[in-house]
Amino acid sequence: MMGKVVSFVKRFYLAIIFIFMYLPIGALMVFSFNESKNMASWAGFSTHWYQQLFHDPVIAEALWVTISVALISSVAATLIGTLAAIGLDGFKAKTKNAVLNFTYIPMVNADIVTGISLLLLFIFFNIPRGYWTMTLAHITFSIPYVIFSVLPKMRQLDRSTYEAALDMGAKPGYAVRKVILPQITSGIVTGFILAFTMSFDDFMISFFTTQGVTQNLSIYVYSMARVGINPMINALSTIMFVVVITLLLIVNLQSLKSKPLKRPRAKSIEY
Amino acid sequence: MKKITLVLAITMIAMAFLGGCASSGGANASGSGGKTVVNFLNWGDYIDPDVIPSFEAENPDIKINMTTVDSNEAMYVTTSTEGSQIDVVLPSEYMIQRMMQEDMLAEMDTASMENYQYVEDFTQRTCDYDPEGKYSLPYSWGTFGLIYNETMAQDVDSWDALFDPQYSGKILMYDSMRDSLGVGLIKLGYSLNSENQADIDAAADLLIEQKPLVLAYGTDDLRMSMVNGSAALAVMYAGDAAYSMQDNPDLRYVIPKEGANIFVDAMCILKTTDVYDEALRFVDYMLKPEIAAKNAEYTGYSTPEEAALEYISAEMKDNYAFNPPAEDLVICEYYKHLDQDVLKLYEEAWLRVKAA
Repeated sequence: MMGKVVSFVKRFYLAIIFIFMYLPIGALMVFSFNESKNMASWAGFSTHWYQQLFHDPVIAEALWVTISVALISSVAATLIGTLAAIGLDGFKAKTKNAVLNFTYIPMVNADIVTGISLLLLFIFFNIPRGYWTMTLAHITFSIPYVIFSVLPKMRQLDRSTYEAALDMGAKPGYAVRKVILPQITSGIVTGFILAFTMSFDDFMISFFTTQGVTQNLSIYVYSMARVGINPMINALSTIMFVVVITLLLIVNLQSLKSKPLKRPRAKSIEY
Repeated sequence: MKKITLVLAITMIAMAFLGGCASSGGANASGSGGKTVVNFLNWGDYIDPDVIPSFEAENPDIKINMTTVDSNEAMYVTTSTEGSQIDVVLPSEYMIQRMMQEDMLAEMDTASMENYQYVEDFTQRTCDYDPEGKYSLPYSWGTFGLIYNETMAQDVDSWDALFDPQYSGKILMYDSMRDSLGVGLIKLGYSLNSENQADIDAAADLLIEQKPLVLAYGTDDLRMSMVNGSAALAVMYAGDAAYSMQDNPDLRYVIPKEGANIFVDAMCILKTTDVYDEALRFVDYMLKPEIAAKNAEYTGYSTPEEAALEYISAEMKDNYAFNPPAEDLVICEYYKHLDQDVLKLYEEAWLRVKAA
């Protein structure tokens, strides 16, 4: 009897969590097919907003800015972050911890503080804000995420394999590419995906680091506040959701087929 | 190893390519493919998406780079910051007054514009802050009145309805400082732009007294609540009302007999522009009656052009919120740009209302 209740409560709890997480997305997707502009009433099925979406040059431009900034910044952050993690792993414990704590600050810092400090920096150096300042800002806040995804992989790694490669006559660069990189690939990929998503849905920092002539999708959606969110945004969100879910499914199915990935060890950094 | 080199190569190419495309928004003259870029700062979702492509098709030497903001204040900040590259901007009348005072706007060469004639009448009649259209040419306008559901409220013609206990729990107010305090000021017979502390405090007291009757203060969500019938009365911008009335035929819009706020959003060219001629051509194009009609139908906000009404569907034309008769507008009042210390009075009063 007791066991039944417990298992019911467990399932109920899980169901509630999923409902809270997915019901809003479900509503958003349903209303992307609504004929009316108003999200209060269902006026019939229509693909009107999807057609409009592909005709809207402003959304296309904003989406392009969002995607290209996310791509450039996550590639750059992955490069810098991975190299930093490989280097950090070789540091003495004390120095390493000091550097890591510094790396934590941008992660726990409120976005608005990061945004405003970058804004002041760009103003101070008289750099006109736009596409490239936004990209720079995104690289900046993405790097810690990459470092913290790659570092646990570095810890798991057996250092003697690298030393063995050197003993065999490999140059350090060659040994890093051939011995270290293949073993930390999953950490690098995680870091890249994290950096990409952080950049993709950032609003606050983008808002402060661009001005006037360049805007990304989140800034555009925010600016609709006066006249109301257009259901085109529902349509766009639906497409993005479906694309991301499909990608995740493909990745997961593939990793199921191949050998199961080892779980990265939990981060253990002293404050 | 080969793979990594390949990935790197692709990234490099992609970056170079992206950089080339993305910089098109930046500097004016050296735009993409030798086109002159006109930077246009607009409200979000406030123009028919087909208009800019059709302008660019007719004027292959110009590229319009449109960005958007959500408030007049953001528009001011974006255009007045050192090094702003914005050429054309679309603020409301009180912000235009401020920009005129601060000498930010370039004079419109209306004599050379083909389509100035269509807004001349409206400009002279309504835009008393700039009656000759020297610095601003109207794009859209509207009133801030009452929308009500006929099945729940009858014969509404006055702001009094918002304070009527029989509608308790079915009244929606607008969550915006000047708009809401404005309702109180008009009801008490004061000016919307009152600079008198006693007036402003009295308006706030009135709103505090009304608060138990109010279902909610909101902005965008008010439309949904009115359309699905969960409230009887709401304060609403005419453009939002026009849209809501299409979705729910029981809704009626009224400009209360005591008066209401009227606003005009108008196109201005900034003094700092270095593409004045191209910007002027764009503004001129936006004034074409067919184009004005398109934008009005898309946004639901009224057009200042008599000639544009010809292209607008009968359903919209008959909509009171979209096309109210001129005599009903006589009692309406513009917002004026208020000084910082007067705004402070408004802010304090508004905080009292919100906290109550």
